Amino acid sequence: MTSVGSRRLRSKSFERKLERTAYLFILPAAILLIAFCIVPMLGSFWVSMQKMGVDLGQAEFVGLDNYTKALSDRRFIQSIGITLKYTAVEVPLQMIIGVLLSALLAKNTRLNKLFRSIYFLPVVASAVTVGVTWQLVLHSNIGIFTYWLKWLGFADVNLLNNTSTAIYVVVFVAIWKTFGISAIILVSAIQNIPDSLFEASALDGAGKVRQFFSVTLPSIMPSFWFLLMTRIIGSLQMFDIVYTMTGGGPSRSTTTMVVYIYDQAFNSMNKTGYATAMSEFLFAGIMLVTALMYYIMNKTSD
Amino acid sequence: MRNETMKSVPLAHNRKTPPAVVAKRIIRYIPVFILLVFFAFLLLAPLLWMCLGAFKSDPEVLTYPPRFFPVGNNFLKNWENVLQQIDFWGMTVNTAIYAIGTTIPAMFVNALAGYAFARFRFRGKNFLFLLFLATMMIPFQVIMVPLYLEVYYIGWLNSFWGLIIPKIASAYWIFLCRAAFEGLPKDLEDAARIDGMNEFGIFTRIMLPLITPTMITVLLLSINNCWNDLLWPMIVASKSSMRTLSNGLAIFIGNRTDNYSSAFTAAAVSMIPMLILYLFGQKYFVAGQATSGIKG
Repeated sequence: MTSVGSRRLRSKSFERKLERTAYLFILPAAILLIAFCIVPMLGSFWVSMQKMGVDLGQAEFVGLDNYTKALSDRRFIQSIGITLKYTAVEVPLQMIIGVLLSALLAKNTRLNKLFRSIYFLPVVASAVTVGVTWQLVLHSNIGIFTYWLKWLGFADVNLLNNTSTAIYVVVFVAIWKTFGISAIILVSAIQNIPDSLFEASALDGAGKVRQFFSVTLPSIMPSFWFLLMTRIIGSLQMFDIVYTMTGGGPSRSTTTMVVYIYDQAFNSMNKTGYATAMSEFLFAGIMLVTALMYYIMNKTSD
Repeated sequence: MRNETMKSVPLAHNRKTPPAVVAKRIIRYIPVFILLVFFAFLLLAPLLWMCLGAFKSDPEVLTYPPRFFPVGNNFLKNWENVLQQIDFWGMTVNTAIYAIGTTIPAMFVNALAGYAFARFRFRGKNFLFLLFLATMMIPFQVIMVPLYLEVYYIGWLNSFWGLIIPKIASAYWIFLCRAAFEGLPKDLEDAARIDGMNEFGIFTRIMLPLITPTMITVLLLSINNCWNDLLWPMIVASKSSMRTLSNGLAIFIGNRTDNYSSAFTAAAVSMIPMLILYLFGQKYFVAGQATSGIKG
């Protein structure tokens, strides 16, 4: 009752004025988000049912033809396979490295802070820089890593030009670029664990390793699941490192879904309708992962 | 701050850790340290080698076995070569216009919306909130083709309008700002209202300055995102005079894989502005990533 009473102190017209202000403040963002995010999303379903290039005047309604065509397109199916393979290798490795490093770097010592800022560094490097750097580092003739690997006894390393290894190089470089972010997200989760939990387990005689599994790991699970979700979604959308490092090759062995979609829409013949239909499969996959992860997160938080 | 002594020797009464325990702890740390150094090496070696490549001449780059450190300093000559082959300054200007032109309105538009969600009650708030939240789940890669068509039909292809306007609003920044505004004390704005200040003035002169750290995070991360963005500039700004650094260098290096020292030089120099940003604003970068996860 008191809250209602105090709210009554503000006059109705004043409340209405505030409401108008709120709408006015939200308006610019709302217009932009609707125009450049929601409209294209809704429009994508229409585009995906057209046989068209960039000219809307020549668009021809073909129903679900683009979808059935995609499912019988061997190259598209291959790109799904490559994307899934990439995700299946990248995400677990990334998570293991992230958890391991966050456990080792959680304490705010000077040395740990230095290591953290080193690991975080590639965040500011563009995919182009990273792609070019690794392309040259692993170059079969001039690459310094190629030379070092040879020196270590690996004969004939030509990792980027080999159809069976190129995708793993992409995985490696993607992890190289982002493991610092993963580690830092988990570090801040570990730092938010109340000290009392560690002290209690220390009193129970738990060692460092035991503590990690019985206190640290369960406490950071919400951040862990969230990170896992963003990593899976990010991996399914893999584009820029592939594009700048391998261009999808050698002989299509690193052509992920988005690389293929980009190629169909913007490089070869501007098959925008077909490309959009393929991107709806990607959208469905991402929604599935999101729903699944939210289900798991809700279940584990109970 | 965790008390290390308390944890390892929980029931010890004396404050000093015995030397034997210290020694044991150091020995235990050695494998950890080696692992951390190994990761740091793996991270820094390629970047360093690339930057040093900017100082090597072409024959030097091609010698076998490859050297890590340059013999002389060939940087100026490489740099001249880069400038002859591509319009590096033009690309830098384009990138700067894209980054700043997006970021400044983005800070304003998104903070304004975040402020409304945090401090006002209004009808349809939950609906709008969910609508904004939904846009976060739409991956850019999925809408890129229709968005390209939209920009094409508006007539913004190969223009800064097309590059900038669709990138300004971001639910991610709105929620970051909303969280910051929610953390401010209640009824802060009422005092200003009594003084007769208008709502917009309250926002710009009282509330916005109070979330300066968040605004710096938005500023740095948004500039960094635009500077390194590849896909969107490639789609809407493909004309050579509109190319940004990311997009231009991807084409330049893709076309001329025989001209290594120029590639090294262009890539190294293009990284400098973001490196400076990182050196000065590292904690904001970390805060932005740690609070809301990764932005695809």
